[in-house]
Amino acid sequence: MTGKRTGGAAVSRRPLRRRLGVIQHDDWPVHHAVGVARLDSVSDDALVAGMAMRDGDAAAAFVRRFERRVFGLAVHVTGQRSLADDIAQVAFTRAWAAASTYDGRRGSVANWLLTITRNAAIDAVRARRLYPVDDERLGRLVDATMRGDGLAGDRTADAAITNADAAAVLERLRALPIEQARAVVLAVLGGCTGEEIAERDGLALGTVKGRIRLGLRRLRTDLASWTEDTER
Amino acid sequence: MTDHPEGDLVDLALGHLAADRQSAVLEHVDSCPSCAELLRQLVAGADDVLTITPPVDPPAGFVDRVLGRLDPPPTAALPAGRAVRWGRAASVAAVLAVGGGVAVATLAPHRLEPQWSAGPTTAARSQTADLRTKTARTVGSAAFRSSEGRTTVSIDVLPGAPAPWYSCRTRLADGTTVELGSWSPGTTTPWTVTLPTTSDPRSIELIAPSGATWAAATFH
Repeated sequence: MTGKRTGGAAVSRRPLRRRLGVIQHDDWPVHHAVGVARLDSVSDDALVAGMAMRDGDAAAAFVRRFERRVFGLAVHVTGQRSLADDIAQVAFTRAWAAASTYDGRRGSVANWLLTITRNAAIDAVRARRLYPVDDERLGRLVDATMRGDGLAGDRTADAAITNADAAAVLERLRALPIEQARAVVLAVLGGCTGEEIAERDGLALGTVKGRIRLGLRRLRTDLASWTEDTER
Repeated sequence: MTDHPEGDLVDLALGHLAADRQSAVLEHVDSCPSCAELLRQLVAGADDVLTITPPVDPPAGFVDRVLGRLDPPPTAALPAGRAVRWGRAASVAAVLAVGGGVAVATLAPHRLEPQWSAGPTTAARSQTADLRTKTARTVGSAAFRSSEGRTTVSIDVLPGAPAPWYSCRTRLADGTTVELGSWSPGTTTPWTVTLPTTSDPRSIELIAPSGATWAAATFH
């Protein structure tokens, strides 16, 4: 099945205050690992502050912390590992270049970075105009998201806050009617347009957009209430 | 536009709205509080969902490739007594030029490796650390960058600082303590101060009006 993407520039978006991240220990050179390791327990905001000061160790720690999530989002939207590799690199380089403009009062580092990633991925897919929407891939994405794979393996210093926030999102997503939850996941994490989802599921476009609208709105409303309760 | 463009708002929030529709929709949003609220909720909801993105392992060498593309290239923290640089082959020439003949090993292209060198260097140095209270709660971050005889200190505090202002001071590697001045976290974020010194900060303290140290950052 193929889907046509509409044109248009990416919309500027402001993330919410959410914290998450992933630390992956790989074969990074030993000497550098010493410098990066001291930053493994540093907060996300501090790493961005370090990048704004052009601290190479902060940049390395930042990439290590978020690479799996950024690459994951790029893969989900594009469906191609090679293209996702390039997009994920672009996302990190954009974050590096814009680190001095990051404002922690407007949203979390993770959301800031993932929004950069999603916009870059959608722009790349849109530039290719016709793009195959892989039913099996999108099905796996919905399953993995609803299963809570996004909460696994989080070992940052902010893990407690991170997991609480992400778990709250997942709980609210699971509480939505399944058709709304699936439309939301396909649209946000799969990068699908309403037209693509409608074609894939054999539904009217208005129905799909209605599901996305109702799902996102209820998710946000429920989370706002939860946030107020936890901060009270 | 008289009707509420709810379908367009969904596309706008998800970054899919065609460019030729955006101006009309945004114009409506500016004059329609209910659509402005709906758009805010849609954008915020999408941001929430991003937090549960299922992770995928990137190809081997991903970190190296990202660091190799950073522009401008990063500087590196310097361990005491030695200068270390991270860079690609292209940066070796810069080290030689800046360091006045400091010996460095040849680097493989596009591969970040540590380059140890002895002797003086004028390379920029920078470090970042969390600002923590006595109970180890992270309340912000501090960073410094030393280059060409000047050190710039940047301090950022998360919302919720209990005092309206703080005195800031830093202890330098040469043992001296420098008062950086007073700062109200709610006014300027981050707060940046430049010092005429070649000695790197070892710690930064935020001192409440009561005289007690509220938070401190330690550089290694």
